[in-house]
Amino acid sequence: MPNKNRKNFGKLCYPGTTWVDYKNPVIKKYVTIYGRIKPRYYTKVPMVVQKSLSRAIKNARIMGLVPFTK
Amino acid sequence: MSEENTAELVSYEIMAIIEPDVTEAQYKKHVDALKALLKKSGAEITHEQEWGKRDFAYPIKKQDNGFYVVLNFQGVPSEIVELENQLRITPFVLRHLIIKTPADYVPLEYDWDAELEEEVVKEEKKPVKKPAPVVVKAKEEEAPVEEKEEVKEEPAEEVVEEAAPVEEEAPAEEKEEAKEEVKEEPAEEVVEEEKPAKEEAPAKKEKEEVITDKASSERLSKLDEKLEELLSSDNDLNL
Repeated sequence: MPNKNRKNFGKLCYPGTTWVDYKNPVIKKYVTIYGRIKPRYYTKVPMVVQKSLSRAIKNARIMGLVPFTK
Repeated sequence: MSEENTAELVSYEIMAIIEPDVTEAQYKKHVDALKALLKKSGAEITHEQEWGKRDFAYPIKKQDNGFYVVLNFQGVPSEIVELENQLRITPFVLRHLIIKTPADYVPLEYDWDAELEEEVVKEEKKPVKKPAPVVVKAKEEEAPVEEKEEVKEEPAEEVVEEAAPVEEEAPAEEKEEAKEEVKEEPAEEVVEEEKPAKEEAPAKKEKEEVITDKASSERLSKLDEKLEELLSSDNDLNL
């Protein structure tokens, strides 16, 4: 059975890859009210994408695009 | 070893934040100085992006906004350490970030101020947990009412024919009232805590009319309190 979940993340990843860009504003949806990264069992994100997502959120925090806490 | 590294070019991306309190002429000078720094280390710039002035999510060096600049270039990996040291010293650059990008990467244009669609997170449906307490109440209502009817029958033995249809009508009325209460309570869930107090008040009045015994009314009041707790204490995770 192919993994149907991979098709639903077209807006997140760079097209054609599973790499997430830290300049993408869709990242704001994967952060909680208090600024923490949402866990994988809640968002149903594949493991490969979650690793680059977390790295992208941390880079965006360094550059002042996403806050550390609220 | 080092000669092989210097010959190959790797694709990088740099994002820099420039001071906000600056005129346009000075801003252009700063950007040109940045590009000159890159050319010293043997880089070839392929793509430019200037985001302009943006607000920060938290204050950086006691400033609330700054100019964002994004540059894509092909550079030599052995000379990037010196590049970062030079960027740390420059006075007009507040923050910088150098990243390795995948091959043939063209940066897309993003709108950070546009509103996002709310389709990312799936919401789980809450299961209905109501039928159990309702069934208990219907039984309790029927039990004390039946006791009353038995008490009434003993003195009124002469009117046996009228008592029989009365018995049939009374439980039928009780079942209708129980069904009405069942319909009201799932309707309360659908409303989602908007008007639970108003709907529970008429339901309570119906119960008080049917029953007047203190013991059964106390039991019902306790069950009502439990129901209210179940309705109001639906706290999701704050995610």
